[in-house]
Amino acid sequence: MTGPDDLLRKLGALSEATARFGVNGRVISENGLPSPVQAVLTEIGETVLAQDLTFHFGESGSLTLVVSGHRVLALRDVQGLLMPSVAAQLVGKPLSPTPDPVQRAFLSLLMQIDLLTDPVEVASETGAPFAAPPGAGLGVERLAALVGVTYPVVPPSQFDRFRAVLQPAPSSWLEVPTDKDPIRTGPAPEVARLESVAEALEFPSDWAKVSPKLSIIGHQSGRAFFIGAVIEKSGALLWTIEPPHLGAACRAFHKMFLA
Amino acid sequence: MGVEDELGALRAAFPGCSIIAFADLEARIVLVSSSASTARRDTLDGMCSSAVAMFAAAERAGEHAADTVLRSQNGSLEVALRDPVRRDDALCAICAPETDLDGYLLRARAVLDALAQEGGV
Repeated sequence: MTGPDDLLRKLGALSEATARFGVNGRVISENGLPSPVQAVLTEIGETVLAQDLTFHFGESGSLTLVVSGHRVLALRDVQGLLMPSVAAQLVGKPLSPTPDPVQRAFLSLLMQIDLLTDPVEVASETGAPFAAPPGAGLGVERLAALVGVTYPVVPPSQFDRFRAVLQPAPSSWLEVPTDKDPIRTGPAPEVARLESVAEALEFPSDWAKVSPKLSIIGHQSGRAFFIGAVIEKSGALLWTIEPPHLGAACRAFHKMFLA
Repeated sequence: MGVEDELGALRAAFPGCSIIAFADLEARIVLVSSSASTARRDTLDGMCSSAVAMFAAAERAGEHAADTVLRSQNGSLEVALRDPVRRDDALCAICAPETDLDGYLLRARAVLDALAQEGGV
């Protein structure tokens, strides 16, 4: 078994063997290695050494994975990428090979990461941090494969994809798919409020009469906007959002479903 | 600055907004409007009806104090703000999805406040 010193040596050798991009003066990606993350995880996979890997996204996002033998065993920590309630579902829970809420939340996280354009920094316990340039091509399928998750375990729904692009992540969420039971996420009082609004509006059937295909409708209550979206054939969803993020949500909806 | 000028300046600040109209929601009639090209009467009437329907939906949800509503479909974004006191006075707009919606809401609210202070039209 390779020890920490060997791992550090390998990472160091890897750094020396690779080219430098111009971003932050350091990057690893050469010799047929498709990405820095791939390179590091390949090394980790060879060591069969359990350790933490921390991915930094932009200035505030980070994801710490417990990795062993080229597999992710669990999530140690998630900051700035998921709403706290979803993060609580993930942190410290073992990742299951079968579809479950943890897996679903993890896939949502991967999709969110996939859509980020900030530089990605990766640091291991034993290796010096380094950075990948923006647009390094961390596709969600590749990333899922890197962390040992078969992707897609559950084909991501339109709701999953839409939710993944909403920034900031909604603090509460009521999803009414046409083919399964509603999905509720968020603090109980907020979700109860969403359900109250949904019931009063005969959501989503009443809205579907008005707009059977794709639409967003919303109204402001205090600072928060209650936003409902009807997605053709998939169902409807309702969430709250506050300025100044309203426009971005509407633009995301149009870009994803109407562009 | 007159109402027409106020609306014109607002529209100029948000080129994605093709029509901005000051309306009386009770009478369901547009009083003054500013548009990129001559607006058809049925378009203006439709903006009023749409705003009335959206505020009604918010009230059905128990949001009687809601003073901003929006609806986005068929590639356009309809936005309506109403004065919290003179609740029939509303500023309705049809905008492109790419419009800076948050910025528009701030500026439009200020315009509506100014119109209300002037006693409406």
